[in-house]
Amino acid sequence: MTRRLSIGFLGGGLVTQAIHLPVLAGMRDAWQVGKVMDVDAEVARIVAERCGAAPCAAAAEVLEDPSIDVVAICSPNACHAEQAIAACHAGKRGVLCEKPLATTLQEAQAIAAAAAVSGTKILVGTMHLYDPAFRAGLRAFQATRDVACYVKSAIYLPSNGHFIDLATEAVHPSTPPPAAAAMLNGEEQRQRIRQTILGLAIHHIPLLRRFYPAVGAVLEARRLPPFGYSLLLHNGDQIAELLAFMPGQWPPYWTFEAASERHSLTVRFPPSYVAAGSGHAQLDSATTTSAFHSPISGYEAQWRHMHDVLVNDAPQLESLDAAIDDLGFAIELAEQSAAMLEIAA
Amino acid sequence: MTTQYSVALAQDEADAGFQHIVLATLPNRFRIVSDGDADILVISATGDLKRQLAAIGPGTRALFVSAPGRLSAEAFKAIRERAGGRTIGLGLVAAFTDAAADWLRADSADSPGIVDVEAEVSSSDAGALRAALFEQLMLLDALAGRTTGLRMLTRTSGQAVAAVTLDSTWRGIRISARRNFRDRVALHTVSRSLRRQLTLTAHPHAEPAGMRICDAAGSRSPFPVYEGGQRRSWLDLHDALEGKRGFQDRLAAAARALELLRFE
Repeated sequence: MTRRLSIGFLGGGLVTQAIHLPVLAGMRDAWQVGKVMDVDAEVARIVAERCGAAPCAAAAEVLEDPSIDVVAICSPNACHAEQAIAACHAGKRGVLCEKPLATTLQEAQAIAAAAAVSGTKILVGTMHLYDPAFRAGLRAFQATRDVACYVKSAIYLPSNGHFIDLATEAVHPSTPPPAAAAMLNGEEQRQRIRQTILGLAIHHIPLLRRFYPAVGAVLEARRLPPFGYSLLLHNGDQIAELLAFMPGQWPPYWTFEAASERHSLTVRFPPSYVAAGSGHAQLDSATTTSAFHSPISGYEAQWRHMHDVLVNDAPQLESLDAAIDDLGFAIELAEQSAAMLEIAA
Repeated sequence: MTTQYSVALAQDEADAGFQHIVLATLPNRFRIVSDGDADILVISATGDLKRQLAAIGPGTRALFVSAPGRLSAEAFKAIRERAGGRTIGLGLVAAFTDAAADWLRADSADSPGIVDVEAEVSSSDAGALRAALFEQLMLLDALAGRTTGLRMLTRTSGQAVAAVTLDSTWRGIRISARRNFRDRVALHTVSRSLRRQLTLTAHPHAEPAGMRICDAAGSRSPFPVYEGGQRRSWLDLHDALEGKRGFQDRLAAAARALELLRFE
């Protein structure tokens, strides 16, 4: 018989509404939502009502409730570290923290220190890293013992509203994409590229780092407003490209590739928010093609894995140290890209 | 009535074998001969160029350069000079029908901010990466406009990446070539309103180009054409000999591309 664990959400916004609650609705044997906290009392009330949970307005009501096993941190980025540390101090069994884990390495290391004392299991919500097709493709590539010489992340997406509206009925309708901003000065452009890397590229930086472990040098950095970039990295014999354009007016295209001279792994992911199963991964060589797909999405895989870790004492697929190294890579990439940025006149 | 032209293949065995396969699909237009003057002389970039050019005779009406990306800028110039006024065809991976090129151009006012072109090459010889970069420059010239500049961004023993500028609305162009187990060229352009995707396989010979246009209406692909770039290149040469097309723009584009790749 599956042991049912209880979740307390910190933040009842679109990620909670459109991603986690629909996924958890299909895992009621393993999870129940005990509390939903949001600074907007109406949001907390409506979202909690949808999943049979109790609403609350303060994080402490979630953290101090002994019936809550796992805290899901879906709050603004600036709150993540403080809330994760507080969850550890409160003795919570687990934390699922939406990306980024923290905004600085110091914050991330403080989370690690707190978790080491409390034994809290921390999982960062990078859904593609847990995507079953990606993980199968990663294992298959690793089994070749090749070293990737080329890695690419390409994220071309329409506005999130397309998919949010198909995944839930949001408490507050999703806002349309922002109008083009007035011309930004150089420092504003640099700040925007940092934000875009930590907000969008962060989805694929953990995947990238499994094949391309260190940033090396950023050779070219361009910003494509409002949420796009073109980055070229080089480290020894390895080259990496990160490309993104959002929002566009075409169907989504979200892919990750890693290639050696003998093998090429390509993973095509569905868009965010919708539970459309895993990506489709394909490992090609001169003579064979292996394909991987699962009806289980990366979102569902995260929650299944968290349950397995807490109930069956399964080892974590991705350690907190690895998540901190992923964050370090992202911060360094953001800083080097800002320094190399081609400033638009 | 279709005019048939005689063809003398180059001495390069690998290339000759490939051209046999391609020309076997165009029996009304071309006939391979092994002696005497031929209408068309195949020039192989990897063979003895001096000897090949010396074989141009009074009966030679045209040259077909089978792997132009492997020539130096000087060698290409020498071929054009020795050819005199004769027609010169180029064997390109990225050769399409005019209709296919028009289809792929779609919206000529489109200004992509990302133009991601990449080539994979299975050959390990020294000129293979450069030849792949050449094919990408020719592809860009055919689809978007005249190449005005190339800046090499990074180079390893197995990869090369360069930024390219064109006389067109296309921006943010990056071309790359890397060694692996297959021969393929892929292009992806991204603007707010339009995405274009193209995949070409150098081998097998008749795999259709994968083409896709994505916009607010969704995605669409044209009816596949089971014809490789080399066959299309030979058909273009036949059209040129029949006075139905000119090659000067393409030759000028090739000369520009080889000049830009001079350092490779």
